[in-house]
Amino acid sequence: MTTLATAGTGVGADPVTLEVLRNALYSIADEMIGGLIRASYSTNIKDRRDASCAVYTADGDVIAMSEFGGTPLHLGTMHPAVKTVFESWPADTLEPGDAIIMNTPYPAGPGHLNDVCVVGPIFIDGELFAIAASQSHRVDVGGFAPGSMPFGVTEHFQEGLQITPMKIVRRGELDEHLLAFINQNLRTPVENRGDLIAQLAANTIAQRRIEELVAKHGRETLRGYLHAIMDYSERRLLSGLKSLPPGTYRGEDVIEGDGIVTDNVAIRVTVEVSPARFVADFSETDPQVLGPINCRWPSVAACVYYVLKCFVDPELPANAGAYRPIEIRTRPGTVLEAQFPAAVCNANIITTQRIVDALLMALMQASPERAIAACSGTMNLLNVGGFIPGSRTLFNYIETYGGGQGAMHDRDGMDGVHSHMTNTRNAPVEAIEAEYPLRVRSYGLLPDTEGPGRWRGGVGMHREFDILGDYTRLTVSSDREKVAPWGAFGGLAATGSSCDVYRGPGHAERVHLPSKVTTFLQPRDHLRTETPGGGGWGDPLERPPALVERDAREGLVSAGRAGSVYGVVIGPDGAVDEAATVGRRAELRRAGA
Amino acid sequence: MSLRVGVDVGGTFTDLVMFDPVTNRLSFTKTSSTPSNQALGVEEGIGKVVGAAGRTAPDIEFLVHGTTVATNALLERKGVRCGLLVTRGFRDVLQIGRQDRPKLYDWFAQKAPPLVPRELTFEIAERALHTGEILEPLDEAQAIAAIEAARAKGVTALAVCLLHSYANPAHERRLAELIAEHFPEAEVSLSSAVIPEFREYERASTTTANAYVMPIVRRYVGLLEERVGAMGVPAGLHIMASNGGLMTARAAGEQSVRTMLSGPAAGVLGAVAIAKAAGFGSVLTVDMGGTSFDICLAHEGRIRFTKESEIGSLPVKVPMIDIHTLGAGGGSVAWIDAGGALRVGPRSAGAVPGPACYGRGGTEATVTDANLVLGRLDPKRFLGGEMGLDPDAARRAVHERIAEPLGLTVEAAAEGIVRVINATMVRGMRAVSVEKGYDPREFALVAFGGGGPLHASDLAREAGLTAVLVPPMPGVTSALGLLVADLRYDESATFLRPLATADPAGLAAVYEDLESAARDRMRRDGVPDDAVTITRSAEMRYARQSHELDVAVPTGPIDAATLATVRERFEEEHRRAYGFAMTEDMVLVNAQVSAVASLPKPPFEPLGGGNGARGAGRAQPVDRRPIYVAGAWVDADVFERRDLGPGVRIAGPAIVEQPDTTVLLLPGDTGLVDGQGNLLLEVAR
Repeated sequence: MTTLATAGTGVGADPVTLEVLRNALYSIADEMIGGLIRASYSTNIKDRRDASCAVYTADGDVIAMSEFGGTPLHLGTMHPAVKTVFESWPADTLEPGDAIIMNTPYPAGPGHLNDVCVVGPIFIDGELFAIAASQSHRVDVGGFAPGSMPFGVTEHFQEGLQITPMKIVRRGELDEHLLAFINQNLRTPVENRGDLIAQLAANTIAQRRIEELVAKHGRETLRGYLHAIMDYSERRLLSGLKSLPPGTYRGEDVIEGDGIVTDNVAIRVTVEVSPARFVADFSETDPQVLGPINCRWPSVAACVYYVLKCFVDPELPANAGAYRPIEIRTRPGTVLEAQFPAAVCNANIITTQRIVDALLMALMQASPERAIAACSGTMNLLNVGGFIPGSRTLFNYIETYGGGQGAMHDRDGMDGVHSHMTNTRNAPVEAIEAEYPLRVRSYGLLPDTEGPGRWRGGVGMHREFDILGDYTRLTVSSDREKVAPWGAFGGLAATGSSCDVYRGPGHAERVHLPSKVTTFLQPRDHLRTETPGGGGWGDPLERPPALVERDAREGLVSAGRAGSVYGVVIGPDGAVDEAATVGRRAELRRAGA
Repeated sequence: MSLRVGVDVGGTFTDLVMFDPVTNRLSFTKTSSTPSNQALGVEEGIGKVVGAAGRTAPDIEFLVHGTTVATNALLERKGVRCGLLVTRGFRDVLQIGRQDRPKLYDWFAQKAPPLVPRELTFEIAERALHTGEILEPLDEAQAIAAIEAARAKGVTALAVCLLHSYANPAHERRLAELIAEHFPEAEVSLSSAVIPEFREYERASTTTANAYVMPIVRRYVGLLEERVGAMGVPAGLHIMASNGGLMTARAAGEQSVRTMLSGPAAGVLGAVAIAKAAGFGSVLTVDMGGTSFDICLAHEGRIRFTKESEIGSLPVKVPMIDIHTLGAGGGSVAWIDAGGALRVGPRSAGAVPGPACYGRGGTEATVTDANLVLGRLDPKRFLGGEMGLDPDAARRAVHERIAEPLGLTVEAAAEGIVRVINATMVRGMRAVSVEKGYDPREFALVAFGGGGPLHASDLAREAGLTAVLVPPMPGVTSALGLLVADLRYDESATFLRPLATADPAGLAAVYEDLESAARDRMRRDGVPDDAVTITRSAEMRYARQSHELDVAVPTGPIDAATLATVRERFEEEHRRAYGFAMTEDMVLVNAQVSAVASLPKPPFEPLGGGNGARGAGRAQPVDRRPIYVAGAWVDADVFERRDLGPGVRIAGPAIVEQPDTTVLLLPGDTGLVDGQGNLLLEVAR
């Protein structure tokens, strides 16, 4: 694939002005996302912050990205989306006040059609000087099922409306005809309009702030520093890269089928680390599949940027400069470089998390003290849509669920939390019940689902609903049911996910759902979803008994599991029986050896 | 009789301010704080401030206190062992929170553990719906068993947060009765009493924070009341709340979570009152200390409030003055990062070892060291001369840590440090102004704290403000704020209905309930109804949004016309905050009232007469010294603040020295002392 960044020209920058202007530019991205989130219409953005903003050079190189809100996935895929926009709309076809909308993963863009990009050129004295862009997850973009992330689809056409780069605003004038066309093709036109206007407002903020910076520092100085800021991030990345032992490392992990067949789909990566270059080669990954878990290279790039930043410099201001030393190789026809019109809508939820796992497995060999065992490994999406009882008003509840975080070399993983490529907040029970024909029966952590270890992984979560509506469609987009999140360095795997429906008299009939499915629910069904825990780190027989006792007191690990897995005997008073523990551990070691 | 005394306890010093309405004089004093028992320092300070005026404790008519007891207990996790009762099926409400992780790119960063562990959280068989309807009655036998179980685990306080209790508090109230019967020693906080608003995690977090600190606050205010009573002070004790209003000691012992940020709230209140008296309604207040920088915005005299505060990374959803805090102060450490950029903070050298120039073993270059190198601080006059600074140590630190590695002169490096920390602070100032839809050019900057006036000119210029106000005694702004506060109680209730179909009578009933609750509180404090002013507001949003905006609701009867006014005001506020309004349905989420009983305040009298009267015109500098500005040394006049009487004009470059701070005027700035003794700077563009 292509290298994203162009070479910098930021010579002669002074380290003080660099920091002052970097602050100013990141402040713009922050102001954009703050405005976007506050002004957006849908709960998905307002409460779950599933949106991102960034500022680019006139060449489409990203300079500053919002980190408040924002997901690592957006931050990686917006960059190629902006490049795609400029292939359709070269600089000479743009005018001040224009904005371009697009959402297509093909040829390069967001990870799925729900992530709508709005790109606004910033003109200074008639010259295209910079670009503002945002990406914001629409609750629905039409297609086969509410929420537009169904299973049962095999072609991109079924997933929703494809919006190739189009001018939605011309010289400040919103194209109502185009918006009407878009709105006619999706289920939630009011939210779409509100969220679009919030995106346009964010770009307007950037235009104004860039104008102010030019007025203060001069156009050419500012232009020079845009490049200096990219060079700066490149130096930071290179400095971090030097701290990784050079070498070649391999990782491989699997997705449990595509919702059509249950064969594992393998993601394989070979990472080459050298002081000046980081290559992630995914060429050996399995071929593309029929079900909607395929993805395109920008999503892969987002995962690589994410993992590398976590490993070498978590505070790194990511931009096109930081990407220069990174090379990503994917092979056309594989699940990571699927060819049109392969279905992709669930790649964000599942595939990206597995790409991260494969990368972690590789880099863990290079630098265990910065690594983490496998986290829940899927965003565990639930989408319940239908009509509000007694009306023709459609509702659509969508939420992704956290799970256990993997353990690290010196600490336990967190319980019930989002990991890696997403960090969206949950929907309050009181908000769900006020807004949707759903009643929450229980919502909480799932004891005994952690991956045991010297340090344990976090436990997963569950939610159980009563379905109150009469026509209700459900999509489950999950994974890690059978191949549970793995442990590291002797740590054990966690418990996997599951999803069940209970129906009939006394809700006695249990219908087990696959991890990837779109289906109908019946009135009065109970729906229960459980998410995976995180993998453990190190031998569970070496976990200090006091920590096992604490977990048992907290009700997160049962006394039975404490004895059988950790070899820690908990007495009837809840305290460790130390003598019995020594004996039990010796016994378990013998049995294991 | 008749003396009014404010006591503000800070980390190092306890500041006292006393106003004597007979002589119309304000006096100030300070004593060392006594962190292990704040009451000792308070007692000593009261004796000192009245004694200095030749008066005695029985002359105190009114006593106000700003305290950090609640905040410290929460931040240091030194509250009581507290249990939580929740609806069955929702035991992990605190453990899961909002399921997000604290840092996107750092998996080692862990969530702050909740105040109540899972072990002490108990489920209660019961269930209400968002309509207030009871789906499942309270199982009293099961509830009693849960209360007994909590007692057996050794808790001394119980928080209760049941699902949808904002819509129907009956089960929570019944649980309180059962607790009183079966576990009478337990101190109880009900979510429906602490903050009856929807979103269960935030409500539970706020309620447990209240339960966690309440016994400590109650004990502390009780002890303090006893001590000041023993001194002969006849007045009841008032406590500054985080909403900038006062509450009685008894109320503070029940709604303890509302005393968080008591001191900073007083600081903002003092700064805004000073500015208002000087004719500035719209101000940004900045308080720069050794480790942190607090920013707050007041628009046309109205201070901004928030209900989205986090204290110690836990949401506390009671109304607080919206103070934005950054890790930037005199002690912020300068460093060079892996990309070769100069960075300053957020790490601070603290008090020990402190900046290199403190001579306490610090070797890192801090903002204070940089200011000393640039001649902006006088090594002999820091803190009124109480502490000598070592300029050689400052130069050495800036040279070794910053200048040499970057290939800069020591002066250029020091100026760079100041520019970078200023950029950080300006980013924070923008976050509270432009990012909230306010134009900073309409605001004056009120600078206080030890470092605020030193950086104010630069900050104002960078953020686009033109006027700076430095109060006569910036160091006692918080203590002064205590004496300008009113008695205030905020009440709220979730309404959560579309405005279009809302029944005006139903809404009126909600407001009536809130108003009578607020009046009840006032009556218990001995304030008659006719002395109470009630204002109404509503938190509103468009139907499918989930973030609310605050809208003022007219007083008087509520009818269709009222709702129309509310609709218009919401649209106006939405336009101001986000630049647009929509034609969609809006929802009135929370109804709120504020009850305020006005208290007598010290007037900000002109400072005519006395020792400040050198007359109008020019002041005589006491010294001249070179300061480094924009790459060059320039000579600056040095003035003593006490020499600057009303009407005096000075011009930059200049330095004004006073015991609690240093004011910097850059070239082109002008300064004028107003009738109240404030130094007003007009900043050069």
